[in-house]
Amino acid sequence: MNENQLKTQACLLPTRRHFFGQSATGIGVAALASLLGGDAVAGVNDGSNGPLNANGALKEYHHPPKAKRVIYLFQSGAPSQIELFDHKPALQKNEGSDLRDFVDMKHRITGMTAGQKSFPIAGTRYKFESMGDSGIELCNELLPHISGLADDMCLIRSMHTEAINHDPAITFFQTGHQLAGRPSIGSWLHYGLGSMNDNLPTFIAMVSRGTGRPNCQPLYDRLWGSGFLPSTHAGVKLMSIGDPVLYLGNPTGIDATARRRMLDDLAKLNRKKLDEFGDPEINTRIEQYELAYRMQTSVPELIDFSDEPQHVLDAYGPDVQKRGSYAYNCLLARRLAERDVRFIQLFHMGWDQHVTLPKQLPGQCRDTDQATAALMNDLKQRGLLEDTLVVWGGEFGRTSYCQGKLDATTYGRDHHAKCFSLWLSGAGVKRGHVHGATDDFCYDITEDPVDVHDLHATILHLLGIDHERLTYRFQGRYFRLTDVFGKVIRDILS
Amino acid sequence: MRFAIFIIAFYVHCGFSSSVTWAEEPIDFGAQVRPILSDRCFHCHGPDAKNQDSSFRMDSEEALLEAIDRSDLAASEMLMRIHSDDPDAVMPPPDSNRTLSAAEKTILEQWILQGAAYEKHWAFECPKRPEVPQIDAVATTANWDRSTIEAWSSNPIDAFVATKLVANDLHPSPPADMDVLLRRSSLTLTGLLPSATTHQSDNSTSQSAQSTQLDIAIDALLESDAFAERQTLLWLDAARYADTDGYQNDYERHNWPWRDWVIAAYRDNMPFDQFIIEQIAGDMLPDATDMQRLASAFNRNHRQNAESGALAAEYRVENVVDRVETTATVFLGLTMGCARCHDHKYDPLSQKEFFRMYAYFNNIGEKGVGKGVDANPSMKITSPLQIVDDERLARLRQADLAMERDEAKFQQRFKTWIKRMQAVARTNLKGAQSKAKSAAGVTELGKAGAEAATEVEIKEGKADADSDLEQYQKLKKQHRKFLALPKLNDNQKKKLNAHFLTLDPLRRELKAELDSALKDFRDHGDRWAQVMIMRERDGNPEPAYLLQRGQYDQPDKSEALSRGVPEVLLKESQDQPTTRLELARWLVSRDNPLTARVIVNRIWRDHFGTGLVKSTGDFGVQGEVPSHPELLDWLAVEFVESGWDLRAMHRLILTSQTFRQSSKMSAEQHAVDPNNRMLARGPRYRADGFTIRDIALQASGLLNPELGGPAVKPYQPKGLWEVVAADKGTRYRTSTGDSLYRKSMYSYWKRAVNPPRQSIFDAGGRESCSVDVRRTNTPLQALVLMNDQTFIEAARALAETTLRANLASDDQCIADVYRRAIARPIDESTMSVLGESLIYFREHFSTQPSEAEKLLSVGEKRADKTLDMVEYAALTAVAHIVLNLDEFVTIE
Repeated sequence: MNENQLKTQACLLPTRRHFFGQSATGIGVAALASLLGGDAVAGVNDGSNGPLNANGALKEYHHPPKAKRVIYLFQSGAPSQIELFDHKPALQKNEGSDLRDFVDMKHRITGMTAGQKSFPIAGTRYKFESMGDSGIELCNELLPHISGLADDMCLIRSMHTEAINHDPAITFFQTGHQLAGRPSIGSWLHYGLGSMNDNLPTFIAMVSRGTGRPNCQPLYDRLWGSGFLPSTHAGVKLMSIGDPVLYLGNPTGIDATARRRMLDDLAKLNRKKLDEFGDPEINTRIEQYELAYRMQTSVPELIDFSDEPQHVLDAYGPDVQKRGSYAYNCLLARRLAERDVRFIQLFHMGWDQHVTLPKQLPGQCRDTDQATAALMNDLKQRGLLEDTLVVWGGEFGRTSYCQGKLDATTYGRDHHAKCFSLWLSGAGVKRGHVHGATDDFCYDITEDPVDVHDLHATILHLLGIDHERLTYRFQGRYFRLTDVFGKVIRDILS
Repeated sequence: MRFAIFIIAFYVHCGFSSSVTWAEEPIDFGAQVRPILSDRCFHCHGPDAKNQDSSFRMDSEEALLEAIDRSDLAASEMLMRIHSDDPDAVMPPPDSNRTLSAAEKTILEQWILQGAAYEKHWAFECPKRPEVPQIDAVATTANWDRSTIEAWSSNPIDAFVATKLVANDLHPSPPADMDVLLRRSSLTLTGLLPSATTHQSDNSTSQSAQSTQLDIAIDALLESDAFAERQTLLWLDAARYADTDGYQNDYERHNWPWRDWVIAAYRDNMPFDQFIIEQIAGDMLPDATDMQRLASAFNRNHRQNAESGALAAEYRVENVVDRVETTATVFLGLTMGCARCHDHKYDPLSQKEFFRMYAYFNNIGEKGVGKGVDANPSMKITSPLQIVDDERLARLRQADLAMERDEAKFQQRFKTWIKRMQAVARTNLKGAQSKAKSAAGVTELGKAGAEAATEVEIKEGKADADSDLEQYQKLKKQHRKFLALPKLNDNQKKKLNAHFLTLDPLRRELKAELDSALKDFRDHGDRWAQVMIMRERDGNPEPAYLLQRGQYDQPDKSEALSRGVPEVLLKESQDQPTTRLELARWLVSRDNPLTARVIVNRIWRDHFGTGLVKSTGDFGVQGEVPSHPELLDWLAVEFVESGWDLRAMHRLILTSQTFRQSSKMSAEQHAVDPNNRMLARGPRYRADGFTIRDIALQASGLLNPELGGPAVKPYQPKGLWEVVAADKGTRYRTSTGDSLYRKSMYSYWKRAVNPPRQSIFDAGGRESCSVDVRRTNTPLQALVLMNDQTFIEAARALAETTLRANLASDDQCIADVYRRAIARPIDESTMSVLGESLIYFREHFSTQPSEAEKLLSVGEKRADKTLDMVEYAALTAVAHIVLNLDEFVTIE
């Protein structure tokens, strides 16, 4: 390279001070990386709207966002749409008849019921009612509080998916692909939009165990993993045991003053190294230690509920003080939303009612009903629901036929992929609205099918992202959350 | 500005290539043009013709000439298309979300105007050994000093690198200090610090004496077990090795003897072609040994689904697909997985070719679902690292075989027993029912009632006293309850079966012998485990079909596919390999354009931090063009001609001046080449999480160097497994004693919940094959080093070692701590900061002795109570700062 070229090259780069202020992961480098041919290739500025925080891969929103953040209440195991959201009197009427007499049963079923000699129809045992001004029919017997939210709810009764087993199905919901290896929704958002909070992770996951079925389907850390995206974008799991964030607490014998001193001396030595070696990674490392130190304050403050008024605590129900309960996680979700954490995801386990549904399901509902409604109301009161999208749902639906012998107390339902319900609420979606419908036997969708990619496309859309233009090049291919599929569900947008 | 854009394009598309992008300079098709065509055009005009709207293609010279007029270049349609303002004519079209920058348009334009020269993709042509450049003349004109030229003239690597430096007006950096180089070499070769004796090196001796000393040290490192272990660790990521099955309940498996096989192979410097052949098809070698069959477990490290209700046909396909993808990525650097559902969008790999590859791997008679440990084929085997007494092993094998042979008969005996017991239960039940009816007037007797009634009956002892009844009476209440049921489910059968195991005399005898043989085996420190391996089925191979859209249940049965590798990789006259063994041999044949390049590129990456081809897993047209193509080819040919001598390849790289440069970065270097693709300085990058923990343990003296064997469970925060596991019984039981301090490569790898320390430091999840290295820099990493008890305990043990040495002064103590952790002498300014630190912490802990005690109690290993607690804690705090230093975690 000749001298002129060198000069030109140098002109392209910011000042030395600026250069040392950049990190391989944080602010600035995304820009530098795309300038110099890094891996990040993101959406293009279409000039239609305002700027974004500088630390995401997108320089601008693709269109004005409706939502700033998402609270995704994942009900793991697959809650029964038939008992909760999609009332089918025809099932009750034909209780015990073989489903094959009414539908073709062309969809594949799992090995758990594939060998059944008969497929006896099982109607719900629980009461549905038309709720609110919108008159959405919901099971207020099992979900008395959530039913009260009917007028805030955008209920999709026509969800469908490809997978019929939990692992691939939940992986599909989280990453847009049935097999492990792709980034989760929250990671995509973190990558695309960056962070809104300097002291907390951008994507937080929380897990709670159902009391309806304590010995339940497992979860796996990769569900909030970053797949092929840099691990900076991975969700951080808030623990219900020990340190809320792994390795957060100082070791015994190191108090706050000792810690500060240690970090000061460390920074001194690392700065010396930086002067000597000129490697900007060293500067990043110095910054990361300071961020870690700030997290040591911000996280305990986050989980300290002592500033919550009693009536708020009461609203979430008796479990709210129990670390690791769904109610506790719901209140935390609101606190995280207030702190502008971008993607907050709760996972409640135990919704897998193959057998003894009447024994298990009420417990699952009790775990989640009051706290979900409290969270929604709390968000509403604080004006947070205006720019927060709430999603409630599982990974597939359940069969309208009974798994095993049909019996009033022991009946249960196998996995059903081809129709199930899920609801959204808050920023940018219609309120008191039902989208899609299923046939009388809850076997197939009759109106407006929505697949998992469509849901993803819609979530991204609400956050100001065109799902076709948030991409990451990996192994030569431009990957998207929605793979090569997905349509925004225009009908549900407000 | 136009010029500036050029420079950007130059980075974007060439990484950093020597061809300066003046408009007037000749455009290099392979380095500059194809990457643009592939990235912006192939999606609609590439190899996947079936799924494209347009019939016009751009992935061959012939096709391109439809849009390029070589007789009137300026009139070429392609020029019009890329420059058009008409949204209906411009390419790429507006709705494609793809655009060409001004610089890219200029490259395409210049290329066309210069005659549109075409060349085939470099990676699909077999490498030929290029001539090693003579650097003397060029380097002299570039004002390199004599001694540098001399130093850079002996190793061919340096000649290639130097030529490129000169062409880009760059100067090499001076060699790093001896101790820096020793640490660097030791870390990249072994993942450990140089041993205490070797890092007492003297920086003051002459350059050449130092260099010789270093060469000797490198030879010793290459011979060490730690080298074998480090190379194995890197292989484990590529081979997606894990200790669990990966889906849903994530059951444990024990494929660790295969890991030991890899260690042994590296330790013995097995020629790498043999290493590959045995892992791909060791089971098919003539007279295959047990060890060769064990090697084939490489292709059984895939995940295995045991979720109830999962369909065997579906997951069998996933397993086979995983083998194809892994083989293609690890050895060929191809993203073949993209051709599962349709023809590859960029590379000349058709969907049919994907399933012809599939046909090599679908013939082992596996089930597809079920736990890994039960997933045939498998073998029971000892570790290749163990020398097992033949007699003891023979006894064990025999006992095991006897059990296996009896299995079917045992199940028969079980069935008979169940029938007999049920008969007793029914007799009892009838009596009890009538009794209960008459006594309590119960008309409908539920199961619980039956149970209660049976209970009464037995207590009263009214039934005939024969041996069946006696047996029945001795059964647990729960078992009797089961036997009274009209039908047993699987779970109930399982429980009864477990009980019958203890009753059946023959089984008990066989079991006793097996237990005793196993105990004898274990008492002598020997282990054996069931390992999932490959075993080709007898008879006609399983047919293979193209699966439409890649779906397991959509085979295109109109055509049975024969085995075959992608045509683009096959020489014209060459026959297709017809078996997995032939495939393995083809992978390492001279006619294979990829394998040797892909392997040497990763070896290079493991030392320099970045490969000559940055996209280590993609050598296709979307992959990055090599920064030094001639060097890559030279190394590939050298590797093959050396007899695939891995050690020699490492030695060659580590003895180059290129590797031995200082890694200090000037502002100028940063401006011109921030990512060091031109190699005008030495490597500097953060070590991986495995290494960071291992060197902390090593510095502290805690590291347990034991070689091989099953996984261990080091410290991990409480509750990690439990909160997501299905069953609360799934607990992480932390190892104890020396096992806590094994190298991180032996840490238990649960796929559902990866070892957190490793994940936080960017390790892949081992779900599927991964050959890419990621390096982030995050606050969570800082928290690990600040607070994980591993590092607190290591700091304390380090302080303890130093204190025990009874050194005279603070300075000496600090220097000792530093040298043990960083493997080189401390400098003055570092000493002064740490000296003040020590004074501060001494004061701090002397006013709060209880804090000192608490700090010293972290970790399982007990503190040395004979030491002064305040001194001990203060030096621990200082040692902990050292373990957090940038230079501690960095290879530099």
